[in-house]
Amino acid sequence: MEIVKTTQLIKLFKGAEAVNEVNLSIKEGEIYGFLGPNGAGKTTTIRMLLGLMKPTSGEIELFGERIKNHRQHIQTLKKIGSLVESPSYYAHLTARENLEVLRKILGVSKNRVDEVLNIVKLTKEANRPVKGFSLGMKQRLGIASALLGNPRLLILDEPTNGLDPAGIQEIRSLIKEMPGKNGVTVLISSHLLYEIDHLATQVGIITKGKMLFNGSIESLRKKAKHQVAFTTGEIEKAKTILLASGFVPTIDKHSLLLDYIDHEQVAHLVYQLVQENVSIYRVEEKSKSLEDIFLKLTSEENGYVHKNTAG
Amino acid sequence: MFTKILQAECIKLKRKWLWFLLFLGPAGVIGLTLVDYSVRYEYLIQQNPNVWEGLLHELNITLPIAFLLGGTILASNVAHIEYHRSSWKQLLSLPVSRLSVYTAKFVVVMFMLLIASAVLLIGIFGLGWWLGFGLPPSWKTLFVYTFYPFFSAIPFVAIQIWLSMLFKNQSRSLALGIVMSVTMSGMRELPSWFFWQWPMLVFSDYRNTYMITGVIIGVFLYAAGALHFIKKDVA
Repeated sequence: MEIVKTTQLIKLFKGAEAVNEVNLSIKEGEIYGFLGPNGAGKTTTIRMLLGLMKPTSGEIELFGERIKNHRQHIQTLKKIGSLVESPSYYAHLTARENLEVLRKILGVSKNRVDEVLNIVKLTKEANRPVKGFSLGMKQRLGIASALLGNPRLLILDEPTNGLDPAGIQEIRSLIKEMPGKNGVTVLISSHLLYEIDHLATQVGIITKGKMLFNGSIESLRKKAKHQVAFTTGEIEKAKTILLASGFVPTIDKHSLLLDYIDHEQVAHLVYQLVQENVSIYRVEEKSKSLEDIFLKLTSEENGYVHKNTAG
Repeated sequence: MFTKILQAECIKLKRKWLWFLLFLGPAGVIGLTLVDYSVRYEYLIQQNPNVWEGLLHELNITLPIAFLLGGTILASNVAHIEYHRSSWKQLLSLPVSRLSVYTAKFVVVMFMLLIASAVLLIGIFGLGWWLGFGLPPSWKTLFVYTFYPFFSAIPFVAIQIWLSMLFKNQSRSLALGIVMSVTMSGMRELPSWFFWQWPMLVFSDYRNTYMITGVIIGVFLYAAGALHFIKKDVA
């Protein structure tokens, strides 16, 4: 079942498209990584899912139900826990009191407060005012708040923003445990791919309000496969020879790029080129990391020409 | 559901100095009037053979200002609690209707003002006793003069809550509230529909009209503010 589904979701801010025809589809039990640079429309999309903003047009389906009005949206919000951007808290209250405010509204048992405090390891700090907390602790409190209502869908918007590496690691391991434990579906947004690599099963990439990629992280990874570059003096001639041998190269400046081929094939092609008196300056392997692909996808949309980086 | 939201609101106000304000405000009004009487006791006593009515007249100089300033500060604070650490997004992504959130804030402010009015009533009673006026001749009059500002100030408070909830920058609502509460008491030439001055008109012949209209216009402004709040995008 699809837990989250949006169809042609559009949000205009003063005529500009903050979110432009976004189609999301998140299935039960998935960890969906929602990626994009800052200002790409991630938070706006998430705010619409949470009913904080009204879509200009398009449809939202949550738990298989089309959201028609605010009253209906409120019903589905019972099953959603969220953490949106910067931590939200009441500074003068303790961690426990902060959770108590939410507990009253959610109507869960008092034990649940202790449970979530334990999950995020804040039990010892529970009776301290939150204004004295570090950012990492505040963010953990945010996750505790999101978990309080036993949600079936967890929406985390930039949960690791501003945290140090240790904090990021902690949050990451917390999130990783979610789906395994009780089949919670997680939507996590980030502007850094490496944060959700090894975490997300599905990925959506958004830039300037438009979805550029939507699929499994494996299919994204496939785009990251290695290439072999032949740098030669006579690029057109070399291309013809490669084509004759049954390989279709792409031209990148003074190089011919081929999708990954093994040692034997490289040796064969070099032999062919040398036979035809083509000077080979260099044969090298180029690898694209997921990060490169992410950068390429998002920067092309921004109008930059992205160069392949040598690996 | 609504009571739960109301309970949550009360937890948020824990250890806030706002509760202290409910005593500070009336204490200020009583204190100033006491100073007034100790400086020119003889003169004030001669002004009105009915000493209690004279006292209430004197109170009417400071009472509405203090009341409206209090309303301004309370309205701004219940909104600021949410704006301070961007809690609106967390609160409104819970399964709550925005109408009940807005209403809870409104009820909290009105309830606190009601407490302040009650404290003031006790204070006035004590002040009269201290000045040797004995028991008030009419309890009804005392009640009217103490709670009249409460009802006729509902439109004022509704506007303050509306503005405070709408703008993150609380200086807008505070500026309007402070300017209105300080200047209105000296401007009785304004047209009668100008509701900001209604709490000052306790000694006018139409005070009952102002009180009832205050409630009606107040509820209308509350509804308008709530409607606006429901439609608003939460950034």
